[in-house]
Amino acid sequence: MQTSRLTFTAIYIVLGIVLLATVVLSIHAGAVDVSYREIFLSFYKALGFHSSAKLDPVQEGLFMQIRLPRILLCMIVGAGLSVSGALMQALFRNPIVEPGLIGTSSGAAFGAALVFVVGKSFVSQLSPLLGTLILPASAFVFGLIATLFVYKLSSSFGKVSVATMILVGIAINAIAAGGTGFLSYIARDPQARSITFWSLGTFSGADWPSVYLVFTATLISVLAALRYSKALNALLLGEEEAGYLGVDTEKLKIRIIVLNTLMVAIGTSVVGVIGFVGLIVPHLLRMVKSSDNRFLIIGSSLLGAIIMNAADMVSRVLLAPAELPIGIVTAMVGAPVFLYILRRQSGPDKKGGFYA
Amino acid sequence: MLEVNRVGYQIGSHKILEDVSASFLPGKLSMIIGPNGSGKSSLLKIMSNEIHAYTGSIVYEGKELAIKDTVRLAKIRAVLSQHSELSFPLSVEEVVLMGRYPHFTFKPDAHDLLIVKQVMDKMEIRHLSERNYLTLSGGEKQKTHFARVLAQIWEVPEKGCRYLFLDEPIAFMDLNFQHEFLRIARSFAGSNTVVVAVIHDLNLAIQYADTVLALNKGRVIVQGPPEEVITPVIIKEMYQIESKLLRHMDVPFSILVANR
Repeated sequence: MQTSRLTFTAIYIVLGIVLLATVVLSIHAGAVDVSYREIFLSFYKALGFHSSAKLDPVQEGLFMQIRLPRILLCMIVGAGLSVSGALMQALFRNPIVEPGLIGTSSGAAFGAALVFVVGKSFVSQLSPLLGTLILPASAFVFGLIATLFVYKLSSSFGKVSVATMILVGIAINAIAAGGTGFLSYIARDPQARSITFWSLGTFSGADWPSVYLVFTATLISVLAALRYSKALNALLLGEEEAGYLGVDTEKLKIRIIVLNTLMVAIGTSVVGVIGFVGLIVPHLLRMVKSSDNRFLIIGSSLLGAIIMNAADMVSRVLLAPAELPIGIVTAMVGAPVFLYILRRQSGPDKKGGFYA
Repeated sequence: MLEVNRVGYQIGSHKILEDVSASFLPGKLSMIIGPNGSGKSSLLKIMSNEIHAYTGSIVYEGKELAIKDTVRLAKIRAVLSQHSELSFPLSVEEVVLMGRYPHFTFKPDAHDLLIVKQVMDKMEIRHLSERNYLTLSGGEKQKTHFARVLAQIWEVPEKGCRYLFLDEPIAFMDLNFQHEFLRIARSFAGSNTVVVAVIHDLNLAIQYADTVLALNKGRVIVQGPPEEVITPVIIKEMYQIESKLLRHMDVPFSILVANR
């Protein structure tokens, strides 16, 4: 088997074009159709040009205040979750790792629910700025704690056993879910309802401030991750080998876990728990070309944005005018893919990989 | 030149190495032999700065090794292990390029890529460069890693030596591959190059080593030329086995056989 002849750049260009197409398509689709003419004109006006063409103010408002931020948020969260998946797979040296499996998402969801139910009103009284930041901050802290737990408990002597990792992940996820469940039990009705929504994942609450917040966190993390792509490649050889190539593996591991948590937790605090995207996207890229982490990080940003956008479109269109939580869509598609990879990876003729 | 000075190492109360001193000179293919559990691999890991919790000192060219030397050392010292854990699809060329990682920050330059081609030619795997590493045979995989570690220290540094450590690199390889591998290792051990290999096959040690270090129960028995180290008396001490060295007029070295 040869690796693909397509160059990295060619793949990026193809992904970029597909991304643009899905963006236009998903702006168009929804409970209310926005025509392609309106899309074009709204962009035109938003960029500061004047046009004699009249825009329906309702449509324009729908586009600028609801659909556009939603699509942008979708792309950014999709990119963030996918890059996180790629990072965690390199760190655990196993292609079936995913932020949802190793506690990051559920830990972050617990942290956010905690603020939702007990903290927000209290902190907001102290300072309004702190009130906005406390949600992502709490999601980050609890996401980090959960991830560190899973990593520490599933690795012994520098080796991560996948079987242990999945079991520890289940336990940590159960603890976090139990905590979140308890919070929604003691919560007043509207709070509880939003927690439930959130553990299914939804982009319906997207607005500009959340776009800015998630964009900043994701951009910083992806750029930092690119800096470590070489070291992450070396880590694929094993920790000792990476050390022989001059990589400080202990420092690297901590940094990667923090970056992963930053992207996943901030995203989760805004849109809730969305699973399996981080699993599938890097896997597809590996099948197409290579496990080179530089390629996976750039490629996952693009392909993650595409896939999340497509999933959100499905969630909006499938039951229109009502909408399906996106977490349901990604789970329905992603979980079977996960089983497929797991099965293929641990087949009788496959050596290695299971204890990676 | 590399010196090991009175190195001791223990895990818990279990002594792995005790008072080990040895020296490894450039231009020579040095080998370490000894029974399983005699501390060969631990010694190699201590010398390569992978294990830090030892007593005594490792001295590279007069300078004592410290933990913080990881990055600097990566440019002059490469280590080939028995097998690698790599279980992700990467092209052979990408794996070999990893050997150049200590030498560039973000993107490899033309010089790095040229070295990658040269080592692939040397290991005769150039035709595999686009192949997915996971689809290679065991021998081809090991050749790829050998090419990777050669790429890491392909150039002799301006000052001092380069160091190649091989930890039982041919344990699972076929006869042809073993000899090819050791020939390359020996030819690599030129001026300013120190090559140290841990090896189990004593006949290969007789045939290829310039100097042999014999370890038993974490202690040095002797270090010297193979004909002085691999003798029935020392073999008996290390492996509790009677043996004989045979000569054949067509072969310029002795052949060791167990005699039970």
